[in-house]
Amino acid sequence: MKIKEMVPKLDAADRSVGPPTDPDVLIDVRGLRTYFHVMDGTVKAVDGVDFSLKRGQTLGLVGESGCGKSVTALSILQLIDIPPGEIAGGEIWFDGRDLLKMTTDQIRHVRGADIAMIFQEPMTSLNPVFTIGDQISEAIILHQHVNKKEAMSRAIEALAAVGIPDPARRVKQYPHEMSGGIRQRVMIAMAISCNPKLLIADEPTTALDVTIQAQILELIKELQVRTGAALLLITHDLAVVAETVQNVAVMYAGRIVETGPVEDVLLSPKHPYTQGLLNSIPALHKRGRELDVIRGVVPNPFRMPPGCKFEPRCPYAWEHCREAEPDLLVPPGTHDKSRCFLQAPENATRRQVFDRATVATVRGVIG
Amino acid sequence: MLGAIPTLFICSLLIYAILLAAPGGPSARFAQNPKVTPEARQAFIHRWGLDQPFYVQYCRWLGACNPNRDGAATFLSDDGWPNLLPGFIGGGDNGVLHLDFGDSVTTGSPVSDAIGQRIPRTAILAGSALVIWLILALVTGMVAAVKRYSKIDTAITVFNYIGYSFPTFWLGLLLIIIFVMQLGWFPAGGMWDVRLDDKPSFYFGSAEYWSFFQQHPLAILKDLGSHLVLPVITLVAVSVAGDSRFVRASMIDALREDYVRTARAKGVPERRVIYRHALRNAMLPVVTNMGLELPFLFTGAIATETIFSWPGMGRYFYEAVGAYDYPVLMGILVITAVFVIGANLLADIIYAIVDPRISYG
Amino acid sequence: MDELTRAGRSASQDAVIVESPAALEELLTEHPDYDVQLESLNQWQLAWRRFRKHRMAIIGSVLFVTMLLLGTIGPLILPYDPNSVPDPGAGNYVNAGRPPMLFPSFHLFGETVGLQRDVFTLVINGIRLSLLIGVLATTIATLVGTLVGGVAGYFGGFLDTFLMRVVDAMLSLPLLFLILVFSRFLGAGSWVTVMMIFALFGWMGIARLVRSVILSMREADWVDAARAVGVSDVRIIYRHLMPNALSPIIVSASLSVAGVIISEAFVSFLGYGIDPATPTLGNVLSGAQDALQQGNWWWAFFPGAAIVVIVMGINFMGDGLQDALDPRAKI
Repeated sequence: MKIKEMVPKLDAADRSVGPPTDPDVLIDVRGLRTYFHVMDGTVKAVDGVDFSLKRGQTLGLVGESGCGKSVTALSILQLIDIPPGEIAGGEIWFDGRDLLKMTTDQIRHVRGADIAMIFQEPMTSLNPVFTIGDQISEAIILHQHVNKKEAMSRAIEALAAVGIPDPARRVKQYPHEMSGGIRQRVMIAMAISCNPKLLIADEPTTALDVTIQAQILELIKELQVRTGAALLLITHDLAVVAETVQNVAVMYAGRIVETGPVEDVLLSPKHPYTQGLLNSIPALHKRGRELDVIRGVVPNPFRMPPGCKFEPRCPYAWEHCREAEPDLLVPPGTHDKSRCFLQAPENATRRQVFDRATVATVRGVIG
Repeated sequence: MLGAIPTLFICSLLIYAILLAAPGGPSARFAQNPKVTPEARQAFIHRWGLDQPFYVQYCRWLGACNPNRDGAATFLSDDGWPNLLPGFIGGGDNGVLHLDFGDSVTTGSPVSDAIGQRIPRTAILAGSALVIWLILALVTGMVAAVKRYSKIDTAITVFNYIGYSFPTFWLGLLLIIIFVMQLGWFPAGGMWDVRLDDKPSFYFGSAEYWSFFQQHPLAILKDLGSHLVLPVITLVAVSVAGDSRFVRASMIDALREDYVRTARAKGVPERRVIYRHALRNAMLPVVTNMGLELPFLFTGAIATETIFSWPGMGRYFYEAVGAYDYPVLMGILVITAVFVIGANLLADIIYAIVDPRISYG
Repeated sequence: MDELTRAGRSASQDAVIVESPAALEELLTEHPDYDVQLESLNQWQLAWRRFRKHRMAIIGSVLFVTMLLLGTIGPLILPYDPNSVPDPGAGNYVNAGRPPMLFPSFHLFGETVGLQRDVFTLVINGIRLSLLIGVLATTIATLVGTLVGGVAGYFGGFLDTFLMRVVDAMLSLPLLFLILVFSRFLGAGSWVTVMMIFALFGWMGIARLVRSVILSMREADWVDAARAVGVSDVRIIYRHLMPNALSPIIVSASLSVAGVIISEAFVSFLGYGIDPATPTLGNVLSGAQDALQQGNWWWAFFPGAAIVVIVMGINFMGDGLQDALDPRAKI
């Protein structure tokens, strides 16, 4: 039974400039576009995303539900369901090759071995009818070409590395015999078992208890440092990002709206959306006041605003924002990038209003 | 597992209720038969306790009560042991528990013999049908699920939807019209071609049959095969259509699960993802469903055996209904019930083995 | 869209209802002064909209309604009485009070052999009776099953265990065997009795279904939530439990009709069902069996084809209903 190869279509406008020249860059995502064709139209879940990671670097991808962050991660490994989905354009350069142009057979060797993924729901992400030992060693056997016995002992090592007590006994257990926290550790063990160069964690703690969350995050961080792998952490929680990663990219409506080192973005946001997110964090000293929210709702995917996608909800927007969509602009003197006209040099007066509000925001967060 | 026992018990009660439903009761039929002597009729009445209250009758039919004893002692056999124990230990020899279903009202000979003769014939038909049903349903369902939205999927789905709407017996008639009358490819019915040997005792399972088989094995097998084709198709077509849909739905569900995505993310080849990861999980509801469908194989057998003159248990049942032959009816019903409950039990056990989440007890 | 979008000028203008975002765009480009309002639909309205768009449901409904019409109106306009036997001398049929014959001795589907009856007439009358039996038997069976399942699920305990054991036992027996026996012994060829027998053996599936729905709802969080807000038990049953239970019941019942029609056809075909004086699609087929040898294939073909069309229609509709009533389905 031959499974149809998933080869993404190339836009006529896309012309490749070749792999990144800097040898330190591990993965370079350029212009990724992933669309879903449903009954009511086409949802542009990811519409022009660029980011890159150097070896051993960490990046957090932050955004609300539905902003396209999970889809971005799945697109990297071509894990999108192709009949409704379609990788409509872009290049993802990894180790000198474009992942999006690979056939299923080729990318299979990347999955699990060079790039490993940890998913959100530990309860359903493990196959209930196989032991966890089987599931972990499956990847090891596939990628490292060792026999079953050797694979099993490496699996036990991996379990130990993620801090599971009594790994030799656990290895023979089934997923339903374990709690959510342990299962997530198993998923992590599975991910690191083949020493990947890039670890993608898609909301790894969202489904877990708060106390376990902290443990798992620490574990991920520790493993990342120890193995020297790069980490792409996807979350909707700003606090998680603050603690765990060096750089952060904020996504909204399928695009990156702000990106930069985490201290810069969180302490000095350059995009109204980021500012709004920070504003809405409840803090003890805000007691007695109404909570701040970003007014409005996420745009209907079938009726996206014509210009800047955040414009309907933006307190600083003016007519120009409705007419054109901003590119990622780099304000002078920073490493940040922000997709907002406020950062253009000609809008300095408006930007001052924004910056003043930012000061208030950050003070509100820090206390 | 032990829950099967009360179910069996209630089944036997329900089956026995048929006797009560009969107008005039079984002895009426017997009484009208001129070949039956008054002594035989009396023995019949005594044996089945027809002059006793119905719970005694039921007890004797079941085999827990000894017709030779009265009162409380009726629970003991002639040898003094509980009557429901097997005969060779000292129990009784009457009733369902001892495989005694009485004598046929039409022929007067023991029902258990007649049934015993016919079980192998139905077994061949139903057995072949079962195997083909399983294979076809699984294969078509899986292909349709994996190649979803392709032309093969559409074709299979259309075929399933249409086939599912066919009455089994009409399909049989159609097949006869097309393949027997118009094309002449297959024989019209029966299980063997009487031309092979004209001896009157030449029926499936008899001594002559086996000796003939040893001499001409290929001829017999070919003959049997050609007689099997149309009845088997008739028997399974509708069931395959229904189950294929179910397998497809089950596979599609399994392929959508998170752990399938995890497997792909690990770099598992697609083929292995389908056969090892998804299929194992998809099979669980399919196994249960097929267990539940087993009774329909029997009801289908009545239609098939009647239309194709297959001399098995289904046809025997049909004839017995026509002749108001209660012992035969009840006997066949008991056997079928035991078989179906047993098959469901087996399905449960298989499920428990395959799914590690289920533990026994 | 889960909501109806009403666009129109406020108050004075008639509202226009649009059903897709694209249509809304169009409308607004034409009439930019229109106000847009969203209206939420309730569960049944939503289900109906999904049903309407479901390709299979439409096909099935068309088939089924056609057969329904044929069955109800057909017998009134047919030129031949199904029970009439031709007068050997006259060369055509005895007209039993029907409208004047348009085409004497023309038989659309051919004639039967032997008693020379018009197959088309037999089929139309058969459709009528088969549908009638199917619908009636299923209705009764559904009512009984809902009652039994409801009682078992609601009261629980020994009553529940006992009832479910009975259901299990009955489902372990090949029901058609029992139906055959009862139909032959008690049926006396009357369609009413036969219909009752089918109802008697058809309630178990629904009972199990209703019981499981009620059980799951007793434990459901949202029932607790409703109670916590002060909703009375009766209101919970009426406004919450029933709509949830109705969906699977409707689907199951519609498929049950198809099952009864096929089973009744089979029982009558074997000769143990309804007396051939009242034609059903099944007993028409039983006469056709012998005629096969004489080369008459149309007698056997058309009644069976009618069964297939009816059942296919019902199955398609049932599928459409299932998809439409699924609360988790997206538009």
